[in-house]
Amino acid sequence: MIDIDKIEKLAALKLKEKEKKAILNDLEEIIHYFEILKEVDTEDVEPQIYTKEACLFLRKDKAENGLNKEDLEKNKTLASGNFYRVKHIIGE
Amino acid sequence: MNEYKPTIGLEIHIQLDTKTKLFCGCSSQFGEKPNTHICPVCLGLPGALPVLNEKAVEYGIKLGLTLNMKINKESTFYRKNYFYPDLPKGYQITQYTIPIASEGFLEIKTEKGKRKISIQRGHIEEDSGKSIHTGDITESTYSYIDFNRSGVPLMEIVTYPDIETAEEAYHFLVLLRKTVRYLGVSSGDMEKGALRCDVNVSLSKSNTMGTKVEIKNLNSFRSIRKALEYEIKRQTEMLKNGEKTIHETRHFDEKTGATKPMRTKEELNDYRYFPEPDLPPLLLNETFIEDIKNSLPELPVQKEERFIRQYSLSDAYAYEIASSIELADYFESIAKATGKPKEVANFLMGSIMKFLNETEKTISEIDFDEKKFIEFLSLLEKGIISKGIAKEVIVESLKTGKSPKKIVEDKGLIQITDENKIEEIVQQVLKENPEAVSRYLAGKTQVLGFLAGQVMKKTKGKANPQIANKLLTEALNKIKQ
Ligand SMILES: [Zn+2]
Repeated sequence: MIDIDKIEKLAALKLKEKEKKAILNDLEEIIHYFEILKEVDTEDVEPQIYTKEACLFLRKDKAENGLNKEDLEKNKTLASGNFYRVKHIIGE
Repeated sequence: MNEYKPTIGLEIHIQLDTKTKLFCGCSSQFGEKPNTHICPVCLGLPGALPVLNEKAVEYGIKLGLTLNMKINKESTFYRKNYFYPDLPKGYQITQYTIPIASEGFLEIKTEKGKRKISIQRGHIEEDSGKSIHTGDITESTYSYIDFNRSGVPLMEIVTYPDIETAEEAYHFLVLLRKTVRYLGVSSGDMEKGALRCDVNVSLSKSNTMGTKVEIKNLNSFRSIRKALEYEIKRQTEMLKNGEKTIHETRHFDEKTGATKPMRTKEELNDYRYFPEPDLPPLLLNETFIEDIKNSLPELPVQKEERFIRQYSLSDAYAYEIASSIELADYFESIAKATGKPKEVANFLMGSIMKFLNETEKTISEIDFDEKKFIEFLSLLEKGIISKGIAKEVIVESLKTGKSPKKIVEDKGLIQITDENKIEEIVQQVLKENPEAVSRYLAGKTQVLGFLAGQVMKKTKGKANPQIANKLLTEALNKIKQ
C-alpha cells in the first residue's frame, strides 16, 4: 500500500532498514486514524471547512526583507551561482 | 470548405505587477540574482503562514471587471498538490471551486467583424520557482532552482473553447495584453514570462466533440498562431484520411514550426485539491468592488472608437495609436495643445514612429513635447518650411533635442518662397534638361513631375512646391507658344 522506497527516493532521503520500518509504521498509523474517522456517521452533516469567525486578513503590498545573504551563506544552503541544487528530476 | 471545425481554448497566466509576492513581503522584481527574494513563506519552510496581498486582489478584480466577469463576493483558496522541486511546499495555493471572477467575455475585432469570446473563469494563484537544467536535460545529474519567482502572484484566465481560428486566438491575446497594460496590472511581456499561454485545440464535424490536443512551449503570439495553424492542418489531414487524433500534449518547435508529441507521464495527474486551511474565504464587500469599478481607465477599444469620433482619425490610425496607453496619451495631449489632431496623427504615425522603430525607443523616451510640436506645426503652416523639409526637421529634433525653430535657423532650411529666386532655378533646370522639355512639349505632361523634382533637388527641398510647380508650368507654356 505505502511504497516507502518511492517516498525515500522522492524525498531524497537515505534511510536505514530500521528507519524505514519506523516511518512505515507511523504512516500506517496516520492512515489508520482516518479509518477510525470513517466510522462517524456524517449523513445530513454539511461539510464545514472553516470556522465561522475566521476572516481573511489582507496584507498591504509593501516589501519586507526576507532571508539575508549572510545566513544563507553561513548555512551553505546555496550551490554555485546562488542556486539551490537538487537531484535532477525529469522523468520521475 | 473545411468540413472540420476547429475549437480552440486558451489558458493564460498573467503575472500581476505587484511590488511583493502573493503571500509574503518578498519583492517580486524580475531579473534579480537567484534566491535573493526568498523567505520562509515562499520557501515553504515548516510553520510559515501565507498572508494575502491586497494589491493582487485589487488587480484580479480590475482584470475580472474589465473582462466583463462576475466578481465573486466569496471565493476560496485551495491546495493543488504535486511533487516537483520548484514547488517547495509540495502544493500550489490556487483557487478551485469558486474563483475570484467567473463568466465573462472579451470582444475582439478581426477582418470578419466583431466576436465575443467567452471566458470561463479568472483565478488568483501563486507562481512556482524556476528550475534550470544544465547540459542535456536527460543526462545532467542536478537541477538548479531559483525561488525568486516562487509565490509571485498570477491571474489565470481560462476561455471557453469558443475560438474558431488561429487568427481569432491571436487577436484575443493581442487585445488581452493591451488590456492588462492599460489597466497597469501586468507588463504582459511574454519574453519575461509575465504572460504565458497554453492552448488546446480539437477538430470536429458539426455535432460531435473532437479530441483535445494541448500545445506547450509557446513563447510568442506569433508562435501561438503558427502552432495553431499547423495543428489545425495536421488534424484535418488525419481526420480526412480516416485516422483518429489522440488526446495528448504536444510541444511546439519554434525552428520547424511543427508540433511534436511530448514525452509525458503515463498516469493522469491527480492534484488532490483540498481547501487551504491557512486561508479563510476571501470576502469582498460591494463598496470595495464598486470603488475599483469606478477607478477603471478607458479601455483600448473604447479609446479607439473615441479617437475616431472625436478627432476624425482613420480606423487604422486610431487602432495603432490606441494600441499603447503611452502613445495614446502622447497623441491626445499634443492633439489638444495644437488643436490639429489629424496633422499630429500623421507625423506621429509617420516620421516619429519610424524614428522610434529605428532607434528601438518608446514614446516616453523621446523629447518632442507640446511646445515643440506647436512650434513645428506653426513653421509648417506659415510656409517657413516645406512638407518635405518638415520630416527632416522632426527627425533632427528627435535626435538632438533641439527645438524645430533652432534647427531650421541653424541648417538654413527656410522655405524659398521668393518667386524671382525660384524662377531663376526653373530656367536653369529647363536649360539643363532639353530632352525632358521637348517630351513635355510633345504632350508627355507627366515629365513635369521630373522637372519639379529637379527644382527641389537644386534647392535641397527648400523651394515652395506650389510656387515651383506654378512657375515651371508657366515657363513651359511660354516655350510652347
Ligand atoms: Zn517570501
